[in-house]
Amino acid sequence: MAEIHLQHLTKQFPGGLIAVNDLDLVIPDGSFVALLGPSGCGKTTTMNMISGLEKPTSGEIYFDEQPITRLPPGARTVGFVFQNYAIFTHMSVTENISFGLRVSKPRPSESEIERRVGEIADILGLRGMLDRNASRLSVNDMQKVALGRSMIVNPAIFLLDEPFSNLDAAFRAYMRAELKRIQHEVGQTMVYVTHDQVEAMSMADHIAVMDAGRLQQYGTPDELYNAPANRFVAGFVGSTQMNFLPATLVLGEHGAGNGRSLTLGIRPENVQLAAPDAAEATLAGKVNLIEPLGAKDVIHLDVAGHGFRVVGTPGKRPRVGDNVGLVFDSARQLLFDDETTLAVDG
Amino acid sequence: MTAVEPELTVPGAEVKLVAPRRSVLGLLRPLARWATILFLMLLYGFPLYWTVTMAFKPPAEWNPPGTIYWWPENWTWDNFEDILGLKEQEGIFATGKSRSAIPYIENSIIAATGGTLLALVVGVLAAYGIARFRSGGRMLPFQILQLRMFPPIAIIIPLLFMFVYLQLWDTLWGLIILYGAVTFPFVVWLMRSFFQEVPREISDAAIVDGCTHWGAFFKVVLPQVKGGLAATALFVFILNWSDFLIALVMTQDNARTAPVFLQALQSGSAGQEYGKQAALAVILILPPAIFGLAIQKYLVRGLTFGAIKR
Repeated sequence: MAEIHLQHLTKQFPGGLIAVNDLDLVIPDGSFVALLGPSGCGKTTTMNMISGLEKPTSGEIYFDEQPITRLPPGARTVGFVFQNYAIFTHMSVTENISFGLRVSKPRPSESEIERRVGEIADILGLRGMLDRNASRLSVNDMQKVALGRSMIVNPAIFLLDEPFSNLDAAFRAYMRAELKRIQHEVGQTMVYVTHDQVEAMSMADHIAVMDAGRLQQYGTPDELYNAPANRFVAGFVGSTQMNFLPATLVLGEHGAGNGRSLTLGIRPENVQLAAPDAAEATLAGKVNLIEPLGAKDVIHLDVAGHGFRVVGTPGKRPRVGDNVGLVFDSARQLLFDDETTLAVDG
Repeated sequence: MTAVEPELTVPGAEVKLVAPRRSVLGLLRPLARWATILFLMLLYGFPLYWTVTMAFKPPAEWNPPGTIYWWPENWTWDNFEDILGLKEQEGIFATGKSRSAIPYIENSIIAATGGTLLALVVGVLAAYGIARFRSGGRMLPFQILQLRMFPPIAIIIPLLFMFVYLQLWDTLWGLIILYGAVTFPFVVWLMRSFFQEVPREISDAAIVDGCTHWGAFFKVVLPQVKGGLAATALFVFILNWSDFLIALVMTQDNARTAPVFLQALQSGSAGQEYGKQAALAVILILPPAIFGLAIQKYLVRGLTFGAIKR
């Protein structure tokens, strides 16, 4: 229903902090895009600029080619769900959900409001508690109400700022699935802010990884995992963090760049353990710690003074203190330039 | 000295039960606690008791030399009738009805209510600006509170000249403006902390839903702090209601308030008219007491608690 286009978007706060730096991003109509990054990377500021709660210092925002940078938040018809389930505790659940309709102009008729609230309540399973006071709800239901309140105005764009991070783990998983289902049904464009890469990977069609106010990479979960654009993305994406080892380029393809300082990156799941003297072993290390996770083990090693992680199978678990050889899946190892931190081909 | 140790023999069994020793201090401590509480209650309660009973005493029992009437011997409503202007005056200078305090009570109600409303309207908006938008910088709230760090008497003389010049002296408008100005810092200081407890997301959510900043403030933020608002209103009203100094200097007769009238209740023949003063004092207790009871349920804080997880 709406494509979001951010063009050279920059936000500098009065103190001088540049929260978002020259951000270019196109979020296609009807897609589910996650803004992923550590806290303070500018993802929430980006959301606030899309919703209109913050004014960008420079740059433009377009919804379907229409510049909306100067429109007030209410005129943008976006739905916003906050991390701290901003519930109006002095109102009932119905009053909370219908709030957006009641303040809109022209205001729909009472019967229309009632019908819409009923629809939303059915989607979210809030039917039985419509008359309850919002302050009496459980944390889980509060976030459902917040979700319902943002849905009622039928926004073309949904903005969710870490909406489930305060919920308990089981309900969080349920709500993630629910959200995917709802998005499938109504087909809105969803922008989802999270610092949890598992959440981003599992839900989003596309992920925009941000760090220090800059876009690091924008791509599908598979692209981010298999072909990270730089060292930051490589380290941030992946449930067991990628291993990094210092490396030096021995022979440039055309003789140029010989002796260039690089970093080799390889994911823990792309390394096999072998006997310490095995011929195919690239490196050797000593086992420091084993984390048994059931389906797999995470084995922490010391490789020439560098911390190193390998995903192992529980059946072939070494012992702490063992010396082991490491066999790299060379097709999946990555190289990063130490000066630019960018990924290097070959 | 040790406590008595009772010996208790159970028939058929040679069991000796000994009550646990209690030190003298252990026995005295609760006693001392209750004695202190009782003493403080008497200390604070007695003036109120004396005022209320005084209001029902006839002149002969007010302050006779050598006797103290702890309790009115001859109960009477005379003092109230007198102060409300219902009684025929007696004596050679009698000019009809007694001098009624009602116009002064009216002045008090108008000035205290008006001043409170003025302080609330200006102060609440200022407090929201400071809490939500950090208007005026970091030092502004403290600077506003500083306005109350000197006694009003320090500026009352220049104020007097200023108000005479502005023709606000001895007018209710003048009093309302002064009361509003004097209590405004308290409103800002109190309401700022209440507004700070309201999560920013609450107003942001309303704004995204289509409200203006004003709409979000009135529809969503203000209802969240209504408990704090009620407490602030009561506090400020009591301050204005009980003002003596400002009204004494800034009014003559037109806008004279009840506390000033009360102090002036004396006559050449009878001296201080304690009974009438007490009767008026009892009447003056009522408005803040009723106001307090009416908003009691809002005085309970914690309306926004649990609305947000930090």
